[in-house]
Amino acid sequence: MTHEELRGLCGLHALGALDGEDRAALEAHLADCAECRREVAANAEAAAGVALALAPAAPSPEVRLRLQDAVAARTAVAPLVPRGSTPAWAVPAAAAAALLAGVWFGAKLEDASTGRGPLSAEVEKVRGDNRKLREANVDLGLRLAEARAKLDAMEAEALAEKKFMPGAAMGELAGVGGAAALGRVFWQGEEVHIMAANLPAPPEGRGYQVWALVEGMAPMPGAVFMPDREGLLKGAQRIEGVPAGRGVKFAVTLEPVAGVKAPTGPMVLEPPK
Amino acid sequence: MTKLYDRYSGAALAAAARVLGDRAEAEDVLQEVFVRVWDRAAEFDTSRGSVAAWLMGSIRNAAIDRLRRKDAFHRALEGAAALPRPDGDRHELPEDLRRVKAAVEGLPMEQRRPIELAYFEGLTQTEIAARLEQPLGTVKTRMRLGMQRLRAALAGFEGGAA
Ligand SMILES: [Zn+2]
Repeated sequence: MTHEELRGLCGLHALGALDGEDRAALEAHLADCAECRREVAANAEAAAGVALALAPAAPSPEVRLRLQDAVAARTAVAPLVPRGSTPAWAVPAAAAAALLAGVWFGAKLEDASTGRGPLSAEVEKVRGDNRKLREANVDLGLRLAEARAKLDAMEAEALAEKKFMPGAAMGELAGVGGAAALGRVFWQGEEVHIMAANLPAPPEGRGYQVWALVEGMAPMPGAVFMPDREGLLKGAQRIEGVPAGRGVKFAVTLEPVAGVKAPTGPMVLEPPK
Repeated sequence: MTKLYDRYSGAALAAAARVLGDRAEAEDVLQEVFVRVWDRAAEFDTSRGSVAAWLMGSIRNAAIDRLRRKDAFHRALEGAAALPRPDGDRHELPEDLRRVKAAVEGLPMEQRRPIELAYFEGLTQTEIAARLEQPLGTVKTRMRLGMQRLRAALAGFEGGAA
């Protein structure tokens, strides 16, 4: 196909609608045609218009609160930095952190939303800090990316084998102490599937026990699982007492292989803060 | 809290809900994406496009990803009944968004329909041709023309194509 023909496909590409030979041809061409890359970007702007044209629906106020919490948690923990192994069943987000997050959130996004002009000193500082952190943590980042790819593969496999309904709720788990381990939990009622990657082999006599966490209640014990030689872990279990809905989080601790009724060992995978 | 949230959360929620047909899930997507936006705001490169396009593209892709995880049966059950009620009348729509809306609504239906099928249902050109029972070539031409019209109509809008 000629450049002109390929250029004509950029609108469909921006809509994610290309398939087959058209898609392969344009993607190969984009690697070395700056004009067509600009064409795709310009079409992406127009595509966003399709969504912006919908009658807006006001999100419930709760979304804003959840967002503030999430951002506060992220401000308290620098991105890509191994977290300390605080035995954190419940880490209360400090009010100061929340306040700071509000300020940063506002500053960063307002700058970005103007879409022009020099970014403020604050954003430059955040950018610089992020760069340093990123350089210092390239290895961890790569290992996390690798863990994520393994999880994606496990999830696809489990879905193909109909291990759980595609509509099951999903929660992410993060490694504690910079272990570069990651996990995902899929659950529907009391039926809980877990998968994790990059888990170290547990010491003799120990295994990884799953816990369901509901605010205001004691952790509910799940089964104990062992990772395979590649550090992959997967399994299904029924955890009694898991309430319906999304107000459940999950964690994994290192425990005796027989399992315990209340967590005793260090936390290995924790819910997002 | 933020201008970006105040300005785009309504449209973003509407888009996610249109894709997913479920308000609670759409709100989850909204939260996920805004957190990601916060994480990556420092990396945002203004030379590569507008924040609006970046944000709406992220919302759309996250919603389509989630949609693909659900099976068709599930989707049919949840149905359109759960769609959020638009509150467009209660909220004064900003002028630039009103222009976008007019541009999209001004598209001939034969161009708008395939574009919306791609955007909100994640269908490819071949799937759209099958759904609309039209030749693939016709569908591609109409989508291309529709996108050209949109770009022309949006030129000058701060988030629009140059
Ligand atoms: Zn080209």
